[in-house]
Amino acid sequence: MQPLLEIRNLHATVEGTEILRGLDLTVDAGEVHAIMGPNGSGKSTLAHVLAGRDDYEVTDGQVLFRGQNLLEMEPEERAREGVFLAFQYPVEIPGVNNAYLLKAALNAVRKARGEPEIDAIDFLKLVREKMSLMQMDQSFLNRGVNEGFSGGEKKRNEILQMAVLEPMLCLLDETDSGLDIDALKVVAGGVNSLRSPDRAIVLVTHYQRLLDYIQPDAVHVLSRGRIVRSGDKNLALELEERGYDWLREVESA
Amino acid sequence: MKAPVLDSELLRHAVDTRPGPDWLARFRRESLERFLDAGFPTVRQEAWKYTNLSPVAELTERWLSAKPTPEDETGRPAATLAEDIVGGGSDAHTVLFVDGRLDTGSLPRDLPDGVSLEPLLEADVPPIGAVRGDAMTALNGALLTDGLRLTLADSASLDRPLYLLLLVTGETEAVVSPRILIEAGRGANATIVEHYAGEPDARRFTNVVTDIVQDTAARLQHYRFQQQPSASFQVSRLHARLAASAELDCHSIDLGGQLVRHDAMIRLTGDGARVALNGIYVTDGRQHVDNHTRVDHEAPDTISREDYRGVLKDSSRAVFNGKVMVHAGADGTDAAQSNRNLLLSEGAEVDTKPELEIYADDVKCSHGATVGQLDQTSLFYLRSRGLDEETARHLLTFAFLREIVGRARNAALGRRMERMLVGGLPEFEELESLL
Repeated sequence: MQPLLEIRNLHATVEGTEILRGLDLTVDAGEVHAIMGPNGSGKSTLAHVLAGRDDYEVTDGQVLFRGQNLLEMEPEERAREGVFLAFQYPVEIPGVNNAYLLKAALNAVRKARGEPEIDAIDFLKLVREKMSLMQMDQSFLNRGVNEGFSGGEKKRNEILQMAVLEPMLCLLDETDSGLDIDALKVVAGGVNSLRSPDRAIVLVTHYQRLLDYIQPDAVHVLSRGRIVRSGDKNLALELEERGYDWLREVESA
Repeated sequence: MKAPVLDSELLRHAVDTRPGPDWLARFRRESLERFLDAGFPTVRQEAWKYTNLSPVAELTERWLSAKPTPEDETGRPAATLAEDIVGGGSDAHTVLFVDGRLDTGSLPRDLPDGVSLEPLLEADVPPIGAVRGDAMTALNGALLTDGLRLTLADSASLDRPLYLLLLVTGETEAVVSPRILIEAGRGANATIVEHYAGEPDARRFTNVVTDIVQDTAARLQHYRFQQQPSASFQVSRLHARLAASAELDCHSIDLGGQLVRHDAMIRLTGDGARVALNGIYVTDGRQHVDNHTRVDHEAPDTISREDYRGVLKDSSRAVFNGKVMVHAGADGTDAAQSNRNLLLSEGAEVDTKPELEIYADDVKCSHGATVGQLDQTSLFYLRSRGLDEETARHLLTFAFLREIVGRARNAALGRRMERMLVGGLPEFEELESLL
C-alpha cells in the first residue's frame, strides 16, 4: 500500500541556516505519529515546510503525499489536496469573519474534491456540530478570525477548522503549548474524533503531556534536523523521564 | 516644479460677471480679494509641501480664458447618471448637484418639522458663516457656483440621511465651486452624505467647502464619498465647530480623482464635545491624495478619535498630516490619532506626519503612524486554508480597511462603503460574495 506521507532525505534552510538535515519519515493512513524533540531541533520547520511556507527553502530531498510531489504545490493546493496545519501561533485577522473563512476554506476543499459548494443551512449545521464538539460558543463565528481570542480559544479554533475541513493529513504544531488541562482535553477530544483509517495525524510536540490524551502509534525523536530515534508510545515516556540531554551524547557518539 | 499662478484680471472678470443676489456679489468680491492676497498655495508652504496645485491652477486659467463668462455645458442627463451611481431605492433624502449647480427639482418636500433645506443662492441675506478658511476657501467663495443650507432647529431630527450627490459631467474643463452649510441646533441630530462622482471622462476641478456648526449636544454623522472621475481634481475643506457635548462622526473615503486634497478642520469649543474622524484612501495609477486634519481642543474634557488608513498601488502617492492642538485650559482632553498605510507596490509612496501640540494639563494623547506591506504570516495562514493567493491578498487588504468601515453608525451607509471599497479593489466580484 502506498504511504500517505513519505519524506526522504529532506533538507531545508532558513535564511541560509540549515535546519532540516536529511529527514526521513513515512506515515501510513490511519496512524498517529508524534514528533518530539528539543527546541530548535526542527519540529516546527518540518510542519511549515510540509504546509508550504515559503520562508523555508528546501535544498534537497523529496516529499510524497499520496504519491504526489508535495513540494511542488502551492500552500493552497496542499490544503485542497487534504493537508492541514494547525498553527502554533494562529494569526489574528481582524476584518475577516471567522465564519467566512471557514466557509471559503470548506468550499475550496469541496471544489477540489469535485463536490458542489455547501449551502448555508448545511454549513451552519455542520459548524454548530463541530463547535459543540470543541465546546466553543457560537458567537465566535461572527468575530474576526482569532481576533481577541485567548490562547486556548485560538487552539480550539484551529481544531474546529480541521474538524470542518476533514483533511487527509493533520499536522499539529505544538498545539498543546499554553493550554491548561481542561483545554488540552477538549483539543485532544477534537483530534481523537478525527482519527480514521484513511487519515493520518502528525503531532509536533515538546512535551509528552498531550500523548496522555492522544495515543500515538509511533513516536519519533528529532534532533538537529534528523530523526534520531523512533519507537512506540513508551519512547515518549522515556523522553519525559530522561529529558533531551541524552540526545547530545547520541549526536556526539 | 512650476509654482501655480493665475491671471488675476481673468479671475476678476469672471467674479464680476457671475449672476446672483447683491450680497453674493459682495461676498464673491471679498473672497476674491482674499484669494488674490494669498494666491494659490505653493509647495513652499508647509501645509502644501507634498501637493503641487499647478495642474489645478492651469486648468482654472484655461477655463477662465475659454469664455468671457464661464457658463458650463453639462453632459448626459444627470438623473440617469445619478441612478447609475447611487442606485434606486436608496433610503435617503437625495439632492442632486450637477457641475456645482443645485438641481432644485431634486429638493425633498417631505422633511420633518424643524428641518429646512434652502438653496444658498435664493437666500436674501448672506447665509455664509464666519469661516474664513484658507486661500482655496477664498477661491471657492470667489467662484461660488451654488450651495445648500441645512438647518436643524433645537431638538430636530432628520429622519433619513440627507444624501447630496455632487456630479461632474462633460469633457470640457471647468471649475465647480459649491458650498454646503449645516447648522444643527441644541440636541438636534442628522446624517449627511456628500458623494462626489461623475462621468468617467469628465474633466473638472471641484473646489468645495462644507461648514458645520453644532450647538450644545447636537449629534451629526458626516460621510464623504469621493469617487471623482480619474481626470478630475478635487480640493475640499470641511470646517466644523462643536459646542458643549456635541458629537460629530466623520467618515471619509477617497477612491477617485487624479489630484485630491481634503482638509478636515474641527474645533471642539464646548466642554465634552467629541469628534471621530475615520478616513480611508485607496489609490492607484498616478493618483495623488492628500488628507490633512486639524483638531483644536479648545475646551475641557473634549475627545477626538482619528483613524486614517490607506492602501496604495502602482505609482500613486498619498499624504496624511494630522494635527491635534490642545489649547490652554482644555484640561482633561483625550485625543488619539492613528494613520496606517499598506504599500502594495514599490512605486507607491506615502508621507505621513502626525503632529501634537499640548498647552493644557491632565491630557491623554496618543498618535502613531505605520507604513507596511501585507502581513506574510496572515497571507500564508489564509492560503494554508485553501484560499488562493490573489483572493487572500484582496481579503487582507479589504479587512485592513473594513475595520474603519465597521464604525459607521448607519448600517446602510456602512454597507455602501463596503461595496465601494470592494469595487476599488481588483477581482471585486469574488470579494463581494464574501460580504
